[in-house]
Parts: sequence; structure tokens; C-alpha cells
Amino acid sequence: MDKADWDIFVKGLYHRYYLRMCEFAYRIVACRETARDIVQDAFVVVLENRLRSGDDPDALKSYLYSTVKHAALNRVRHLHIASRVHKAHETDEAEEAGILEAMVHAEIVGELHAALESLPTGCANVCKMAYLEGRKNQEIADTLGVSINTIKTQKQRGIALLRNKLSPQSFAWILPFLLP
Amino acid sequence: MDREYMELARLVSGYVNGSLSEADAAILQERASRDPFVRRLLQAYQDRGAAAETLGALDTIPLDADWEAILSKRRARRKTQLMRAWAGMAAAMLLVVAAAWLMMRTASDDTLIADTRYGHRNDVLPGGSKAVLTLSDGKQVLLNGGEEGRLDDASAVIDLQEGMLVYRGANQQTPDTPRHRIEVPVGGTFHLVLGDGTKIWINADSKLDFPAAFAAHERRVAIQGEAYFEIAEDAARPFIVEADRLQIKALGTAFNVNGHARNGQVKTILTEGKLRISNGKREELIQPGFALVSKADEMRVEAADLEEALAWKEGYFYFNHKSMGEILDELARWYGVEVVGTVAWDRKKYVGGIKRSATLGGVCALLADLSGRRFAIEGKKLIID
Repeated sequence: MDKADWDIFVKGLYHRYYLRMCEFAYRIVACRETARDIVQDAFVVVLENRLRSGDDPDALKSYLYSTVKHAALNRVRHLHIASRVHKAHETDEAEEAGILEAMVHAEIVGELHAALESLPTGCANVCKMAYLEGRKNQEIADTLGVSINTIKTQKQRGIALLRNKLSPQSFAWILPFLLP
Repeated sequence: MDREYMELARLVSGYVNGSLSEADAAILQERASRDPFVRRLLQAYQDRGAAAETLGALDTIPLDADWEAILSKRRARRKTQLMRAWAGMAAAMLLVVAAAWLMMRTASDDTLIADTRYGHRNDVLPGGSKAVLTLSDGKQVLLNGGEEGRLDDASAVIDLQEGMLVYRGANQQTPDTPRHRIEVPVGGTFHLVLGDGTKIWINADSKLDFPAAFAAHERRVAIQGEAYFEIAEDAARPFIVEADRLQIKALGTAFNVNGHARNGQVKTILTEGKLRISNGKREELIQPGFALVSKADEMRVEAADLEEALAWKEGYFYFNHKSMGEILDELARWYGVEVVGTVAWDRKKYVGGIKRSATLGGVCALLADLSGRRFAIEGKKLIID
């Protein structure tokens, strides 16, 4: 893989993993801006060190988590940024468990976000407004400048698509937002 | 990140996403039943509000802008790396310069050793055989006493032996016979045998100018500083040493010429044979055991202590009625040190001998005893108070 191909490959990884890495870092440093900064640095490292990390996406994801984890813990330790994880757990073992929990949460919300993103644009917009922002159908219709029936149709489509993408468990708690 | 954790994350996210196979779901269920942590994870997603808040927060992250931020961070990093590379190179060059400087320093200071006996900051090794020979073409040969070999100059073949030069070959001086010069630095001595068999010992901080081959009618050299001459007998060719304004004419003679005195006097001590010394105005005939002391246009002959003429080339300092100032001057020349101190030395004269192979610390111990002064060695400084 030459340099240009690698950049494209890393950009793909970025679209796949950036948000969940931000979430992961946020759960350690408790600041969204700092989290983004840390994850950006981690991607710079990946861009610059292609041989070290190889091109196996799983290995790269693992490498990203590891890089972000260390950078985030360093920020917490050295810059004394208040950290839920660090404050809550004093021992390394407990800290490690907190990191695992943060990672699993990041994975879950990452996958969830990716599923929402994969909906058709109009449908996704409606679903996001309803689901993420908890907005009423009329508000969404006013914002998008469409009729309330269009919103209802999009929601139906969203439900149908999400039903195939999300597990019954997660679907159970996403559903109330989408129903008219 | 631990593989096991990654696997658990895959199972839980797969479970939440509904992409889990039945086998994996069974594994996760089994783990949840015995691991409260796994249960807690799964339960967390029952809280819709918290999860929705998280997803909403992620949605506000500008993906395109952040990708640009990554690319610009990379550019900044490359710039820094380039600067670091430059800084590294600069540092490396500085290191080379520093090392060279240190080596030169060490080379000039390799006579410094640790002092374990006398309580000085360091001790100073005595001088040794060293000189710089300048050939007629201006080429310089550094002689540190260890060289062996042969130099082939236009008019002479010179053997380098341990701590000495032996001139061989052509004995006839042509009109343009090249002249050679030997400079002996502070802290050195050098021994030389000229083509006619004349032996010359040159003391520290002295220069000898001589032709690579002597003329048919005379042998003429010039000395600055101190040297001891053992002139090879050759009745047809008188040997003439120029020292300051003196012409010292010898025939089968051994003598020491010392022009190192601070007051500008030149003392010539004759140990064997006869000397005829002229200062251009007057001429004195010197007998063995006598010395001629010359200063400006004055010349006087006095009884001499032959030890004084011979001692230094035999390897010891010999002081017979010398003032402390004169003694320290000689020490400074041999040990290559600077004497520091504003002590006004009395007119006391000292008698004694010290081996030139002693370290400066050893000599100072003796002189401190004799003079009642305190001597301290710091680096290349001899401090007296």
C-alpha cells in the first residue's frame, strides 16, 4: 500500500471508528473537546506509522483503542483533568475495568450511530430528530419544511430499516421515539 | 487493548445491534448470568435517555472538519520532526566540535593527573621528549619521543630514534643549503646528533636553528633558550654557536648555553675543551670549569658549577644559589605550568637537586618545606601564597 492509498484507507478507518474513539476518550477524560483532540492525535500516529500497525482493521482498531487509552490516561494523570474513571477507581485493576467498560460502551454507541447513519438521508434525519433530539413530529415537519405526513412516512421506513439492523433488545428502546 | 475485552465488546455491541449469531448470543447470555459487569453493561442500554444523549453528542462532532484537523496536525508534526532532525544534526555537529575541542584540551592537558599524595586539586606530570622539527620547505614534523623512522629531506637523511634525531648523509653545504629548526616546547627536551657527530641537548622552551648540512669552513648554529653542546672535534671547521649577541667558537668542546634568565643574561658554562666567546666588541677565552655571563654588552667570567651545566640533561634540577624566582621559572618551563602569586621572594638562595622525573606535586612538597610557603596546584596553575 503506497502513501496515498494508506491515507484513503485510514480515512475509511476514521469514518468507521472516529466517533466511538471520541466516546471512549470522553469516558476517560470527561471533556468532549479534549477527547476529540486525543483521538485526532491517535489518527495522526496511524497515518504516520503505517508499517507498525499493518492494515488489518481489527488490529488497527485495537491499536487505536490502546493509543487513545494511554493518551487519555496521560491527560487525566498529568493535566489533572477531572475524570470519572480515574476518580471513581483508585487501583489499576479497577481502572482497567473502567477502561473496559468505557470501551464496550463506545463500541455499542459506535455501532448504533453507524446503523442510524446507514439509513437513507431523509429517513435518517427524521429518525435522528425524533430519536436523538426527542422532537415531536410537528417540530420536525416545521424544521424540514415538509408535511407531518412525510415525517410519519419517513419514520415508518426508518423503523423497517432499523428493524433489520438493530437487535430486538435495542429496538425495543428506540421504538417509542419513532412511533407517531 | 486486551483481546478478551475486545471480544466482550464485540459480543455486547453485537447483541445490542442484533448482529450476534445464536452461538455468540448464548455465550454472552452465559457470561451475563455469572458476570455482574456484563449484566451491568447490558442494563445500561435500558436507559434510553442516557444512550440518546450520547448518540446526540456524537452527532454534533463535525467529521469533515475533524479529518482536516488530523491532516493539519500531521503537517505540523512533520514540520516539527524536520526541525527536530535539523536540531539533531546541529546538536551532533556541536558534539563533534565539543569533542574536538575537548580532545585538543585533553591533548594539551594530558600531563594532568589525579593527586593522591600531596592534597592538591591535581598533580602535573613532568615534561618529556618532545619537539617540532621544521624542514627547509616549511613542513613541520611533530616529535613526541615515540617516533621511529627516517626523514628524507633535500640535503639530509634524518633518522628518528626514540626521543632523538640523528642527521646523516651529506656533509657539504651548498650555497643554498636548507636550514632546519627544532623548537622544543615548554615541558619538553630533545636530543639531536648533527651530521658531524656533534651532540646537542635542547632544553624546554628553546629553539635551535642549523643547516641540514655544514659548510666546508665552519659549522654554525643558533640557539635561543638553553642547550648543552658536545662538539665533535674538527680542527678545520670551527663550531660557532650564536646565542643572543654572542658568537661562541668551540673546538672539541662541551658546554652549556643558557639564555633563559629573566634579566636577559646568557650564561655559558664550559665543561671541557676551550671556548672563545665574542660579543662583537670583546672576546673572552674560557677555560673548563669557568662560565661566561653575558648581559647586553657586558661579559664577565666566573668560576662555574659544572653540575649546573650537566644536571638538566642528566635528568635533575640542580639549584646552586638560585633564588626561588629562578627555581619557579625553571619548574614552569618543565611542567608547563603558570606560576601565580604575588609573593615577593626574599634574597634567599637555595641549594639542592630534584629529579626532573618527579611530579610537580613532589617538587612542590620539597619547595614548600624549604621556603615555608604554601604551594597549591590547580589545573595548570601553580599557586603560591
